Amino acid sequence: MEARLDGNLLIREAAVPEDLTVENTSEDAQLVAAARDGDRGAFGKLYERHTRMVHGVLLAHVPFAEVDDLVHDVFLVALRKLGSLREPAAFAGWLIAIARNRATDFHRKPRASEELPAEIGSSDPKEYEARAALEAIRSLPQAYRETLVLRLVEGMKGPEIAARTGLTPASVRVNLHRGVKQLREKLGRERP
Amino acid sequence: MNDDYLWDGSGSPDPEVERIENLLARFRGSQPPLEFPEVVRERPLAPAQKIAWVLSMAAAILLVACAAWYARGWLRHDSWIVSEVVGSPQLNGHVLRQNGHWRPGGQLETDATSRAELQLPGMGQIEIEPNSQVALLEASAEKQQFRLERGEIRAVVIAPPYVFLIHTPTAYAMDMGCAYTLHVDDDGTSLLRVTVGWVDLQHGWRQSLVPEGAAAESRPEIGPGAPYYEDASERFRQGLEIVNFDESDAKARSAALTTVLSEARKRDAFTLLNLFKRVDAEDRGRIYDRLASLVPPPPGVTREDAVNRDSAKLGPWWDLLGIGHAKKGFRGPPRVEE
Repeated sequence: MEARLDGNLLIREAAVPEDLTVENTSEDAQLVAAARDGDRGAFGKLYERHTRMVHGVLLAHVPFAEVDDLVHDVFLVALRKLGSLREPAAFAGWLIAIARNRATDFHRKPRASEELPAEIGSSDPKEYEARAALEAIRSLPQAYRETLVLRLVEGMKGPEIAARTGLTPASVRVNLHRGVKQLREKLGRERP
Repeated sequence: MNDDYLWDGSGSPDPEVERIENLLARFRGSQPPLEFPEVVRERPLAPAQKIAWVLSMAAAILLVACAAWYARGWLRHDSWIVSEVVGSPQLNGHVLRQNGHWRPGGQLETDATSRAELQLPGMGQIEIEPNSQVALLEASAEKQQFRLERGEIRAVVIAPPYVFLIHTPTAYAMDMGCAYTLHVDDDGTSLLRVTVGWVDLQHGWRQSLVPEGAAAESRPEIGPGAPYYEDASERFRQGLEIVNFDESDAKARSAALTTVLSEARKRDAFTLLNLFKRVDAEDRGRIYDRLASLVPPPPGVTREDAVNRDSAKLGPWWDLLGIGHAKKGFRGPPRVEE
């Protein structure tokens, strides 16, 4: 395991087993190839493998109530455009790009509903606190925002986030460390 | 901070991170089954067939899309479309955008320089005037319910009767196929002005049927008063205000009723009909006498029926006023030469 100092954070570079990334991308490539040939089962497996990630990326940008519909949209767009994906092994990154585009489209279009601010959304203190935490994460820079949602909401571990998103393990680790630090500051500041 | 736990869940959990994780777990994706559109593999077509097929499919899709778009507007009643915005009205604290949708649960506020116009195909159109606060309580094919806390709404309703309702702090206005303006002051007092058709204004046991051209006020703790035409004499309106809302002094009310009866024109007969249920038996006899002199009662309807407030017998009197019966359909305001 190599280590380097990035700011005040000691980053352990080899925290992701290399075979995890290789295994993920090569399996994705096989599934993409099969799905392109019309194998719906293969596309179903791609959906199972990446739906948590897509859900997390969308949740980092759009209201919770809209996320499920947009996840569905993202995979339907992916299915329709699968033939245009040049590098099947890059499926996960391509899927994230579609998800971010859908989130951008969502904010461009007139919306059917607005998400209630945490203070008027619920009388349940836990629900209130959860919404406030999610809002605080959404107010962070995009890199921290998505990584934190994938880790703290979707329950993905750092190595898995790195393998699925294509980020280097060091970047994911930095994003998690700094993101949580900023989140703590925000929640600490906003807590009465 | 325990970076190992944050990184891969190993090591001892950081209590704060673990607590946030537990809180946020409710937002985790549930991975619902993905519904794929069916793909049918077909025999390759010749180029000419392909072009014809593409053109015919495009035409068919366009037709279906137009029909679906048209039907969508008429079949979906779950949100109001923001058709025009002036200034910066706010929906749940966010600036309202034109072409957006307003769904139940939201509260819309306008300041002194903003207003909004909303439409719902098959239901109607509402204009929310400056300094108003409005909530959308329900939006469905069966009921469209708003609450006007303060300010003013102008409504043009094409929905069937009793589908469109506006609640205010002192009454609720049920549309019977019409256009009207409803204004609510900061103290909750409301004023309804009907420009087309009829509105049924209710609160508790109090009910006022308000026809085209008439107005009705509603006050806190009391509810709606009898409606009236705003071109009635000043003395008529002042007397009516006491009869409608001053329940503290019986003598003053009786004197006010005397003024109302003496000032009533033939055109004001509908106000007198609305008063039967707001006064005591003795005064009902006096109302009958004046009303009968303005518009003779239906055959068989006696003073005693009025004193006993026999609504089944008094009901047909509405038909003789020349303004139609609210529940049978509007036939226009009375055209009476004074």
